[in-house]
Amino acid sequence: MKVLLVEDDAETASYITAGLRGHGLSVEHAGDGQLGLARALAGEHAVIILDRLLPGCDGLSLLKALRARGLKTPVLYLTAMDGLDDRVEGLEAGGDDYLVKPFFLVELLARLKALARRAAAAPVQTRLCAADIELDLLERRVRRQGREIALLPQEFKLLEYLLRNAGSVVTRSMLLEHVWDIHFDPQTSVVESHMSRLRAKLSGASTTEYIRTIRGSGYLFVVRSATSQ
Amino acid sequence: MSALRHLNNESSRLSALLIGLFAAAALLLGATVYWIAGRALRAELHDFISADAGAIDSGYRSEGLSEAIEVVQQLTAVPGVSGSYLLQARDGRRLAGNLAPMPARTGRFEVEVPGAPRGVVLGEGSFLPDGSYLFVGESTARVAHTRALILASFAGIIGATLALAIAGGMLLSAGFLRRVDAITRTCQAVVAGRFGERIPDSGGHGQLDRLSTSINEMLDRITVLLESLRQVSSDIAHDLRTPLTRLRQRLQAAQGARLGGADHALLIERALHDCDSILAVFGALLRISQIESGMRLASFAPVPLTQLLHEVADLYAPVAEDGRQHLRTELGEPLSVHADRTLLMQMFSNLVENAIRHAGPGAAIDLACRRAGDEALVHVIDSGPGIPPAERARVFGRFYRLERSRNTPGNGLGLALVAAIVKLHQSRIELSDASPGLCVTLRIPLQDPCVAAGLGHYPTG
Repeated sequence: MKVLLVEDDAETASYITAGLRGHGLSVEHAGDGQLGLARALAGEHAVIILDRLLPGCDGLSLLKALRARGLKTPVLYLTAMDGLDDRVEGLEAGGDDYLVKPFFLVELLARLKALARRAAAAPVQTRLCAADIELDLLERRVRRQGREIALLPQEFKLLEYLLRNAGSVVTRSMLLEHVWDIHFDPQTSVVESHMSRLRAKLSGASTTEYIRTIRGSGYLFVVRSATSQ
Repeated sequence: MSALRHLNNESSRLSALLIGLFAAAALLLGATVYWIAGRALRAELHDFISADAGAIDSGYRSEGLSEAIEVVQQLTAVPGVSGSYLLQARDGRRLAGNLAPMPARTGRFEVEVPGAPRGVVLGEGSFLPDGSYLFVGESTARVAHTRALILASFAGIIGATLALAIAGGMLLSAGFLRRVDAITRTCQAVVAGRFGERIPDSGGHGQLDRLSTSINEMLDRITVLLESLRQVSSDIAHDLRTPLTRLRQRLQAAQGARLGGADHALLIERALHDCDSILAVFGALLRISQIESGMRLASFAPVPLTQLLHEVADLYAPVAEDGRQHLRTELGEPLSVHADRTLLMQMFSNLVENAIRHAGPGAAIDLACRRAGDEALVHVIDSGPGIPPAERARVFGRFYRLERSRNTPGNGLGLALVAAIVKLHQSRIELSDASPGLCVTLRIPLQDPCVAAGLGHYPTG
């Protein structure tokens, strides 16, 4: 997976580059907007990481220029701008995700993978399957080994997001944003509580582990559950 | 300064124009009076002349020339006589009168008489039936004198008018300039950093007063913004020092100690946790100040309040359940408010989270909403320990934490953020005793139908 990093701060850039390479990603770095634009237009990247404050060029206008030229590569903003309107502005300009500095590398990694997967996924999916869980988006039903499991609407959304990213880590903040549309840090264990309910409903009487907690990172929907092997 | 000079020019130009108009008006008035008075006086002279001539004529008609001579003699005999009389025989001999004989000329005319004051006499010549010549005249000295008087008076009046106009203009422009100067001085004082300076209120309702008021209001607004900025900086300086010191101590300890792998990892994790909480405080402070500055009003839109509260309840019900608490809802008819959805979500989340975190295990938490007039009344009630009445007003301040919650997680900014959001939405929040527990009451103005239809903007105040 090849990633383009448009970031003017050399130290941040080398931290990200080293971190992502350590996880097997190939990273190309552009230190300013013009270089970033030129490299991005080659169109060979799975995801673009874009800083919003670049010397001589706003990340927002850079992205608008890219989108105007028909480039569809998913873009993740990585920026210190965390004003209330900044995120909305960024996404409206054609961005796909918004991560505020400072950040954890695992968070960045999880989001990059989710973006790349979303771009590569079939455009219309009406059924999501992983392990022996099957989620039907049209009927809004969830089945385990063919037997229906009753889920609350929020649990359904949570499972849907986990299944779309089955096999990779999704972080707490990714879940808050995508499932509940919450962009602040709750002071209570909202995600954990919902997750434990979903786990209990999925497993039922069995001991099968479908959702694994990755300490310090987030959650992972296990593609092949331990007992269904 | 160049702006001031420009105003100065403007005002003196205005004064000059006014003075010119005054002078022209006075001149016109003077000329009219001069002309009318002259005419009236001459008409009066003519009346005198006609009366005297009539008397002489009637004397002649009743008793002949000798009586006419008698009348003329009587008229000239009056002491200080102003009239000039001449009764002259056909051969040019003076029969009576105080004028030297002159060539006979009929009708009205002026004649120079050496003895008369100013030398000009206005008179009327005629022939009596026997052919003798009669001239009756009056000195024009009075007319000339009156005219001179009028001219002199008007010269005085115009002079005085001009002097008054110039003085008035100068006073006016000085007053105007003084006020403009006061505005300039205030602006410069603010530029120089004295943000408390305001333009003095002159108590009037003129344009300058309105300008002054607007500038003062603008300065008040700027002061609020600055104050909020200053508050954030001082909060950051004071309240981030503690966690930063703690972080530093941790790192210092790590530097000194020779730690094994697991201990080392734990220490780093704690240090990271410290960093995160510092950043969280930083973010919350910035967010509060951003909300307080009022810049969020642009993102206001109709928000289905009841639906939002359902979402909040669905979000937190499992959390409450995990703490063996019971989150109940009573959310009535669907209500809509004009609000910033994101902020409203955060506000209710903060309130419900506060209840969950402070009410303790086993507590009941109620989320209720109903309509009360043109407001939505939202209650968040818990059966926890509540807040002592003396502390209720203070919990909305930044970094204020109740003594007993010092050891629970939280940065003391949750309710400050709630207060900022409440204020932005022109709503009210009250804390009261739910005996036992805390009752938070929110009053949010219901959406104006005009706003829903896009016809107007939301009423302020």
